[in-house]
Amino acid sequence: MKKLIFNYQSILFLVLILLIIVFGILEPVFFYPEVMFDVTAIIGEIGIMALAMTFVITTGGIDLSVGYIMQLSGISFGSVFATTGNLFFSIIVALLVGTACGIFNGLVIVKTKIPPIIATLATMNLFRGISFIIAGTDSFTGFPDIFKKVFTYEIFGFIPISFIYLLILFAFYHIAYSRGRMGRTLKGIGFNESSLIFSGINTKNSIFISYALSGVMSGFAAMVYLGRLSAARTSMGDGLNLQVITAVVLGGTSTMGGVGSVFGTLIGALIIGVLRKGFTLLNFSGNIFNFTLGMLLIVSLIVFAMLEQRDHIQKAKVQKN
Amino acid sequence: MKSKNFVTRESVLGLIVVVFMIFLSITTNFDSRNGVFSLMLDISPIMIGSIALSLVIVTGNIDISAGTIMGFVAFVAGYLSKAGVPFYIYITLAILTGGLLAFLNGAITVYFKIPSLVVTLAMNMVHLGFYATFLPNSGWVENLSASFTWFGRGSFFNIIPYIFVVAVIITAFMIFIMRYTRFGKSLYAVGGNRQAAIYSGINPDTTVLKMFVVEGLLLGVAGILKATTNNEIMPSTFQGREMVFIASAVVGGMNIMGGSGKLLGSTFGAFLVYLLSITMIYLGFQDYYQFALQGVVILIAVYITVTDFNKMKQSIDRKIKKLGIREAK
Amino acid sequence: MNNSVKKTGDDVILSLENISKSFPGVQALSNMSIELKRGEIHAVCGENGAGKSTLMKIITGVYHADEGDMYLNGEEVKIYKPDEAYSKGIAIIFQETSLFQDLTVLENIFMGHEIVKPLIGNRFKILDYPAMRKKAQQVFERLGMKINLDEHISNLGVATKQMVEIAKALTHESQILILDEPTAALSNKEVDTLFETIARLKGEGVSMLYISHRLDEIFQIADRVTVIRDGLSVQTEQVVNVKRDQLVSWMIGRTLENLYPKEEVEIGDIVLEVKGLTRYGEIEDIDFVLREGEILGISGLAGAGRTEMALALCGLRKPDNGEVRVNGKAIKLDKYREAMEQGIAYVSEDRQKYGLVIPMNVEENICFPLLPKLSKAFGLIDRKKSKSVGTEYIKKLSVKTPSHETRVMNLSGGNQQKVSVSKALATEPQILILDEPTRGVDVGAKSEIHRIISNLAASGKSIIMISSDLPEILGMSDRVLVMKDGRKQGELMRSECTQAKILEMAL
Repeated sequence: MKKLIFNYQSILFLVLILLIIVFGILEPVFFYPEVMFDVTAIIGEIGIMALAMTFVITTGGIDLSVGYIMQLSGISFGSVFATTGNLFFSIIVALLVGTACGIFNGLVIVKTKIPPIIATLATMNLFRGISFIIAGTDSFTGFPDIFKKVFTYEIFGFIPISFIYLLILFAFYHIAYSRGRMGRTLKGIGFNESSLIFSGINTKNSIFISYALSGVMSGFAAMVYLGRLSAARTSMGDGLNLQVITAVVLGGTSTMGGVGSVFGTLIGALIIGVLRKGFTLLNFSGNIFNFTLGMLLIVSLIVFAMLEQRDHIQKAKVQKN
Repeated sequence: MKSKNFVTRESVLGLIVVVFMIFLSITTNFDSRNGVFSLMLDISPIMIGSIALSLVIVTGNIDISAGTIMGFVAFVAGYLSKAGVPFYIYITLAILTGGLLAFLNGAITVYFKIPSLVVTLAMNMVHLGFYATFLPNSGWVENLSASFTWFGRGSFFNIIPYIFVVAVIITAFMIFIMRYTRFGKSLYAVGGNRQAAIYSGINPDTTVLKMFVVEGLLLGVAGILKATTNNEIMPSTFQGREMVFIASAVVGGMNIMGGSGKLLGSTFGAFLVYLLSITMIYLGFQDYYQFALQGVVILIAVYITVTDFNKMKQSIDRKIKKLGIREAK
Repeated sequence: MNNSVKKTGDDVILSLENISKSFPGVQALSNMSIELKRGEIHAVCGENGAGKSTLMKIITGVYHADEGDMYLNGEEVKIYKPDEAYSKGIAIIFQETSLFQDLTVLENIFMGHEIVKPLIGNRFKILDYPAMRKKAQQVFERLGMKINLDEHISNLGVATKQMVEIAKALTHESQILILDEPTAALSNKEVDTLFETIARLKGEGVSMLYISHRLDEIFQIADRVTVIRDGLSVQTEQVVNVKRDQLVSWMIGRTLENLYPKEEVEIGDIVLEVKGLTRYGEIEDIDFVLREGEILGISGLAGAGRTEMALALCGLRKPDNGEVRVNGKAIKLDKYREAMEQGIAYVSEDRQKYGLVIPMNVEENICFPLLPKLSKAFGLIDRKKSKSVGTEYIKKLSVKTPSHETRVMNLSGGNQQKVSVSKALATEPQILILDEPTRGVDVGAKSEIHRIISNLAASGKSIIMISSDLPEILGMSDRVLVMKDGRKQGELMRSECTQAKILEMAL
């Protein structure tokens, strides 16, 4: 399967290039560097959350609450800033909120037998609810320029700094996943947690960390988002979990666990960004984007499932000889 | 259900519901004709939806697109009604549409062996995007006449809404199906122990597929029960409704892992969750508190169902024995 | 065979001829033939891996034979699905029950073939509970037991669950019952009850295939016995005409001495002391010691608590009471990692579930316990070290694999087991606990593993070997500890050890 994945990511990369070319032909302005790199800005928060989600899905679990953790962090930020006016403090609070949410998820999943699907389905609502309780029907705006600068500054005038943040995080995640102890442990858990326990590995720890990290990343994603859009609303988180999960699954990480690629996730996120930007330029509505995204997820799931089945059949044939 | 209860979960739930209703009638104007009437009006689609999701959950699956399916059903009904199609025809078509959409979910899940969570997560977005883009007016249907709303707003003797009667009848029917047909038993088998089900001659794939179709038809009914109470329809407002259904099912005792739970429990669960939410409204909380409430309720209910209290008791017993307070056997 | 009706004796109800079945890397059955007479209890015995389970799975349609024919009542049949077996009157009582835990006894018994009655005219059929209850009561009467039909399976004990399985088979009007190691998890009393039931059924004309390696039981209830070895049926005899050691020699096929390459090892000081090890409901008050270079065999019937003791000993299942000392130092028993660091390693009996991560490769599997030690700064794995550990053990244990990066799923059973053992060895333990080390392993690899164990002892390691294979225990152990019902029943030195003595203590 590893060989297959390697090929899969290469194909995916080609798909990305293809998409860029297609959109570029339809709307030549797409080829301008400013526009292309805008893509990376758009997917800033999704990409960051998707990196952490790769870890979670590799263990065979899932975190449906990411979008609303981000929302809660963002709203907390806005609320605290509106009251105190202290930017630094507000950022710390936001990150802590994200972390706390991730820790909460981790504890529920590790300490009780509640399956991750239903646990994060429940916490998703919980976090969303809390964000509404804090914000009411208000939204928070008016963040200082320096805040925006940190997240929207463009190097050489067109490379968004948020992309650099993403790349740095990507580097850490990729190395930890493919060459690190964490990655191997998570993959082992996804395949067969019992075996790892019988190897003396504290699997609960690793699982807990993957959910906690997911929370931290969501908190950071909130900062990136607010830096760019400057308004914390109670609709910030809607539909985000789907985009994050699509990026991860599209990138070749299996929902059954054990198999995955952080590099694939990055490409998956970029593909989503290209689609978004492309559609915007072509004046397609956000709804067409949603539709396409859903179709993209379904198709990639089906393709992956078929590849896995074919892999099994091939393996059986090989063994027979 | 792991814990040995001499009193069943359903009877306890039923008791709580009754107590709750009494409490509410004493402290608020709940027991007025208005209060009871709107209770019955609101709860009817929820009852059906809870049963629909219960079927999905008992087989070990989940459907996050249920709300969106209901939305489309509502659109179909409203649109056809405005186009002059007779009542019984558009009702039938709308319900069949529900069955078809759920069947699609089921087919992808079963045929490609992809977890239903991700399938329905994706299909949800596909549907939403589809409605907004391809349906006339993004699916918004307005100015529906009495020829549409008579059903939803009408009632027997001015007290019991038609839709409530329908809900009760269908609930009873489904409870009957689960208990008295092979199909019903096969759902528990597939969700409880897939391999054993195969040994018993049950085909898990066709069973799950059939289940999705039934779920879809039920969602169709639920969609109609909800839609006909208003004179305008906006499919996107249905999105997310499945949370209430899942909460109801889970509170009612459906085991999220599949294989156990009673439909009657889900029905009581629906009442309980509903009563909880209107209590909060009466207490002055805004409706967006619902989300937090649902989240907490689901967590607590699932915790109670999946925790093996017997095992917990055993390990506590062991600890006590260790302290030498009680004598070892 | 082109004629589908075969003239066998009138009294033969089921007959299999020249059945062959192979899996990747192993020939499970070769030209196996066996016949079951009407109303007889026909025991099938053989060592682990001889092919008993495979044979039963073919009869019940779980596997398809590569070659060979099956005849039922003289007519050729082909069974391709489990429920086809049921409809032809053949039922198997599993070792691991295939019941629905959250459903009732009644629901379980009739699942898939509920009794129905028509509701409206002849179209809509509904379940007929009164009829099912009546039939269920009849069936349980036949079995001579009382039971609450509305009890959830999860609330029942193992023996009762087995009875429910048998009842399930009877509701199919099965004429042939296959019992696969039915007494594995039963207490003495429960075994007696089971045997009464079996006798009852025999009286009604039910024919039974009884798979077991418990020779005592075979002599107690079987009419004839067939010994299977290496996928072939070796001998079939009337039980009355055969003696125990004959059976054993048929099962083994060679003399004990040549089989186990155990070296003479000088046994040193005590390295492990276990006192009062207890885990409520599983094991009670286990005491023993282990010396350097010693191989301690742990014998006993399934359910005696051998695995449970091993798990408690190394902290995988925290014991409620007891003390374990390694080289005189008491160790904490709440985490396996603690025991590992003190020099104990455990190799599970179920390598698929607990021993290996099947989709991962040999190197990754072997290195899992070592992960903390193989990590450099920032949690990065030292690939050079990892590779060298992997290749070292591949060499040491002669694991037949194309490379250290081959995925374990592509290896044969024997080589998978070697990887599983390597995993434990890589932690360089002083004390190695092997749980059924040659289960599911072909004969060639089996003796290789025995050689490896012997070498390990010779190099100063101490081994605890849990095994259900009596000849293996006798051949390899310096001392044997026999367990029964969670307690230590007795100890035997190598010199005084015989199968008879062990079984006496174990039963």
